[in-house]
Amino acid sequence: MQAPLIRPNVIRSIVFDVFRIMLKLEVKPQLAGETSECKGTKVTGVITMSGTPSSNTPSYGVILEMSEKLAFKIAAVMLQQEINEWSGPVEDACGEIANMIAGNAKKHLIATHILSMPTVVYGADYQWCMPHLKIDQVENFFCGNEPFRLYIATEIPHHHF
Amino acid sequence: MKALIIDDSLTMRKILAREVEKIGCHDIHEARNGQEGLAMLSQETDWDFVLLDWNMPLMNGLEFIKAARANPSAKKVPIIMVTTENSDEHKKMSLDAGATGFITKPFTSEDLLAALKGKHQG
Repeated sequence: MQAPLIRPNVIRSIVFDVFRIMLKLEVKPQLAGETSECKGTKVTGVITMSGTPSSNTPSYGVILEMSEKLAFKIAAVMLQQEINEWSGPVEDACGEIANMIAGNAKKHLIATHILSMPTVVYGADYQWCMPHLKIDQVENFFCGNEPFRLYIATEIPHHHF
Repeated sequence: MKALIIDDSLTMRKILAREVEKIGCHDIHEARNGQEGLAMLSQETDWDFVLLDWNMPLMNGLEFIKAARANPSAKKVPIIMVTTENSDEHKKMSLDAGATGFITKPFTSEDLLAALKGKHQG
């Protein structure tokens, strides 16, 4: 089994801190036997990170996937207003949380990499993929009863294409 | 007090605005990127401090600091970098460019207050 890109306790610590400090929300990791897969309408926030073209270092992706309910809760806390529907500010709030987690994870991957702007997807019954990245690590969490997942992806070596 | 908050995230601008309001600053101006921030900084001269993100389109935070410090009227305005870039190298780059303080996201109210009082984080 491949070793995780970032030690699970480190990733958990990053996620716990972002949620606790910025959102005042408690998070717990998924326990054995629990499932934290998001069903129904969900939100996916994607941040990639890359070096310069000449650096010959792999790119990475950090993907945060959560239920619509959790996304609204996060946005409500950050924006200090009631949130009942998807909007630009809600998208921005979700992107910012993904950005904070990715930014803190970057130090444990390649610190000098440059973060992308967040991409945020909202909807139901969609699948996402990043053609040049493969998922290497998945960490599962709950915030209250709401599940969310963090994926860490690594660039697929060029000679595989 | 008069503050300029520069961040491409509306959410972060709102959060930072709430935080600076807690310390009695109610004259708060916002910019979405370094370029916009630089224009605003140049148009007025009585800024008490600037809160600045690093990763922004058009002009990032580091570029903003360098450009601001090249402007004689903005040379002494306190500029606090508020960023997810938490490596020692990024902190050094910011401070060497002329940032007054450097705090990383996520941050507490106490972190921000300490930075505004002139103590570097970490």
